[in-house]
Amino acid sequence: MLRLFLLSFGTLFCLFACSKPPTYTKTVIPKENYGSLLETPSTQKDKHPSSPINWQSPSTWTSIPLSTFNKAKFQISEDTQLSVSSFPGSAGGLLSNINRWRQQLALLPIKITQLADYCETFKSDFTTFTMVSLVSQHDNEDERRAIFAAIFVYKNDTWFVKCMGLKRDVDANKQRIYDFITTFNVDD
Amino acid sequence: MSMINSFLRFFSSLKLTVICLSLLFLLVIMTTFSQRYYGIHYSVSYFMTSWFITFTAKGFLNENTFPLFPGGMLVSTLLFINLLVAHFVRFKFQLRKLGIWLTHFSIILLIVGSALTHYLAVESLLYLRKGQPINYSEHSRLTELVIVQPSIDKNSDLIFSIQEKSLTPAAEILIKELPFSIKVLRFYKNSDLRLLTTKVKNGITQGIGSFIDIQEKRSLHRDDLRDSSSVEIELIDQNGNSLGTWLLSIDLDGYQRVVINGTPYFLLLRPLRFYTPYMFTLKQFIHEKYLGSTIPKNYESHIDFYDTKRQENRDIRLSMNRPFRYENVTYFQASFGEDDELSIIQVVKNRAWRIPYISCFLLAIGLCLQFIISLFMFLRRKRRQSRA
Repeated sequence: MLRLFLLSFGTLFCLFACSKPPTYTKTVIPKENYGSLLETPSTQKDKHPSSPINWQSPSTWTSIPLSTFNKAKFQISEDTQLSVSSFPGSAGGLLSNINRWRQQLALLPIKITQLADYCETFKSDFTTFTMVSLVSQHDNEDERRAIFAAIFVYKNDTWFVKCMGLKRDVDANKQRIYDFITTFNVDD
Repeated sequence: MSMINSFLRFFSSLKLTVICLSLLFLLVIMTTFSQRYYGIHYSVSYFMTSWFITFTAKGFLNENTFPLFPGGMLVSTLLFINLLVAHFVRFKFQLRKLGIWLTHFSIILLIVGSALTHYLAVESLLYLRKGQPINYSEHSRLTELVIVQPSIDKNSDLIFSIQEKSLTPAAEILIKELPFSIKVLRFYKNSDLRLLTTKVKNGITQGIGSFIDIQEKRSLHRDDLRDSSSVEIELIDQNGNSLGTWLLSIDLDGYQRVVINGTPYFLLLRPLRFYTPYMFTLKQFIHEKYLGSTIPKNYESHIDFYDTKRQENRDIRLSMNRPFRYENVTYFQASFGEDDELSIIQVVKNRAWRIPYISCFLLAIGLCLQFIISLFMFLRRKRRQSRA
């Protein structure tokens, strides 16, 4: 009798004690609408007069005077700037541009076979970007500089969105840069 | 041995049965009055599904919680043990007591059924708008943190859902398919958000959250209102470096995007969703009122139901007293809104839904049987007495 009682009690205990739910669940679902992309407030809708492309920049970036080939230029932090520029044709190709930027960071040039180590692609509704990330070699982490750039081709021009500055500032703004390039589009 | 005997004596006593039943009676009365002010869910969880009814006293430094009265869970457990022990200790099986055995068994089954329902049943709501197919229902109180990897192929997204109960401060959630882990910094069950045009010093470094002033609020106790839950998270890459902190909230109607290794991910906090292999489309909603009043007489949803697994299509009609049952899930017509363009269906997934019906059926049989047996015994005794 006692055994029967303990057995039924034990069964109930196991039933409730053994059902620990997993931390997360993974589901593949048909594509759906997740609402709108939440942007930081009062983003500046902007476009260079000669640019066919327009964009929305975060309100925390300050527009600064443009140099030749620049379509837009922003001061992101004290020592970090972001520029949008376009050049006709292939603008020298991906490798030569990367090696030029490496030189600006006092890095040795790379060979074409090493390109994949520094590039990745990012797709938006507008186009596919080649993202380049470079970091200078400096013993002091705080003094390392970085370039984070997006390259894409629109019609016959090659466009560059390049952010250069202290590594810690560039890293802190990477998400905003992704958000910024996702706003690129052309007027219908 | 004497200890076991005293344990069995205590738990098989009739006094314990009467005390437990009286306490349950009081708890039911308290729950009934409470739900008028605090809603069904809060009242049931406070009185019936708790081990103790507690009282929180504010001290000088912190709040202290004291047990005030046994809760429904404790009383039901004691009653369950009492019935079980009494059954085996005091009752010996005799054919003339078959009715009592059945009655006891049915009450034990009823208690087990209610415990199983409490632990296993899941309730959610299906919001159907005319002509819009939907394949998920939403929990009315709980939330989930969702990471979406959009467009894993042409037609599908991959979503990772972390339920509210896992969003405890300092919890680090590692999802092996993602190149980052999620550290929970703070979870607000209810919060008040204020969007500002300048940055706020709130520790949030990324996204719209850095412009939001957030205040914690007391959780709501009403059935018709939902808490505005929020969560502060930090994403950490595979090398242990922080990718920044984000604020997600159920009040932020949309998603925030984060791009890691060139792959975009969407982050959002939303009501906990239960995806189903069924597609529901509201075709028509009928809302009838009593003549000359706004009191609903009948409301009824005509739904196109498509089971994607069986590739089976059928028309279903749900009305106030006519639920639809399909594979352990029951769909009830619960409410409506948006000028009758929205129909709200309550979805109850409960594997133990048959147990109360079975136990009530057994209880009725047991009582009838015991009455008939007692009647026959009485008549036989009377006949004997008259012969004598």
